[in-house]
Amino acid sequence: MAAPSTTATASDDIDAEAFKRLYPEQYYDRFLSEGVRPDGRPLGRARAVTIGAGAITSVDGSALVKVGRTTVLAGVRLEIIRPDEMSPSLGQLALSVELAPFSSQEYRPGRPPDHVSVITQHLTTALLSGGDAVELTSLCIAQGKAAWRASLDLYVLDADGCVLDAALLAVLAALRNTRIPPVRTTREGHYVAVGGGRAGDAGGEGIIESSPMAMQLGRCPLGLTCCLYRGHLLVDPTADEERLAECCVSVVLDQHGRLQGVYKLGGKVLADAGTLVKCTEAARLRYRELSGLMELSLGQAAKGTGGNG
Amino acid sequence: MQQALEPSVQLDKFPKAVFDVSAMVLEAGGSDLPILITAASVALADAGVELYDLVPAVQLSKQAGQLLLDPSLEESGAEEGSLLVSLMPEPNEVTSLTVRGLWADSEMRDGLELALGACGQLKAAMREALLAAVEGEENPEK
Repeated sequence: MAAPSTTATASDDIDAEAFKRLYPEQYYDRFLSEGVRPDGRPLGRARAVTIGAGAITSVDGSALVKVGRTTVLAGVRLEIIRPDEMSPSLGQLALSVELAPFSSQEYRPGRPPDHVSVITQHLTTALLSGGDAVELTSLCIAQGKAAWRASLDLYVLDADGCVLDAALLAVLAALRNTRIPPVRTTREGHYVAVGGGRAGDAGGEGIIESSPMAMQLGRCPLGLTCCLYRGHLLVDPTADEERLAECCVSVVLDQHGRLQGVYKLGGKVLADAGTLVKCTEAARLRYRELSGLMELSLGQAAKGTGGNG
Repeated sequence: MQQALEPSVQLDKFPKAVFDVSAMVLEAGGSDLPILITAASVALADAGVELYDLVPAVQLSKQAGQLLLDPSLEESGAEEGSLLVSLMPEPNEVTSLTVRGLWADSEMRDGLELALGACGQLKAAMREALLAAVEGEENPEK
């Protein structure tokens, strides 16, 4: 970018909003020189998080997560399928990510946005590869005959930076919020899920005792994105900051603080080891904060539905 | 949805613009389309688009001789007929009307009266929400 003219900085009459749009780098430099960001946060602070587990009642599990203005809704739908012949004791997990048209300024109808595929790929790596995040054996009903297939649908309602972090959190909260209905066999030998209110009419006959009630999660990956801008490390950038930044680094950790993944997609600046260590430390602190909030939210959701069975 | 909203927008003031209105149903609990129309109308107003009026919309369901306003999913499933009205209350013009099932004349009249009254109430709520949002912006955010 060419150096902006100095007449703009000298004039105080220009509306702040116009200034931000015309000379974004100078706008940000003014804040960074004071050690804060336009939304008032210090450089190392992530945004406040709200987790609403069980937000959608028409599916088996759901979570609505807001990180600042970034909003992601995750839903889990369960259906009974016949397991694959190669793995008769494993259930299945399918993931789909969609970006709502009103989620970002860069949306153009008819063209899927670029970062959807990146997010889908990272989520798939974090959750599905290695098979140890979601224990697929816990989704098995009867070996070789019936298993659960969990369809995880993610909708990004507002993409204001760090969509991957919000997505991982929403997915984990939704999976943990999922209550698996008990299963019974019919006379023809089919497996059918028992609806909440109808368990009484079936007389409880044929209910499989050992059918799973909740999903078993092994490794719980959660992440934090930081970006580098002119030598400053900004934690949890908003969409404007991400656009200005020279590069973004996402660090995903599991519950023991071990690295699950570090994603740095090119960019103009190379991150050295010191920067990566700082990002990882920030991610560790964030993990503790997020898992505490998640437990709180899941507990509230469980209490809310406890009376309804 | 487009048919219901188009008459409310002063399109001649925006000769070269295209308004891209998109809505996403997060949880379908009955009466979805009128809620989508209402929400989109509020969103247009929130965006500062010049409108002739807001467009509240309601759905009525007819069951066993009774009229149910704003049916839930279960109630919609058991209905004999339905009526969807979207209205611009100020000029008192209906922008879209969809009727399904068999309706006697008197039932239709009662249904429309009920629906138009409900639209009036809905518009009051829409106005309140928009005013609250504007006030929230004027006061400094915490």
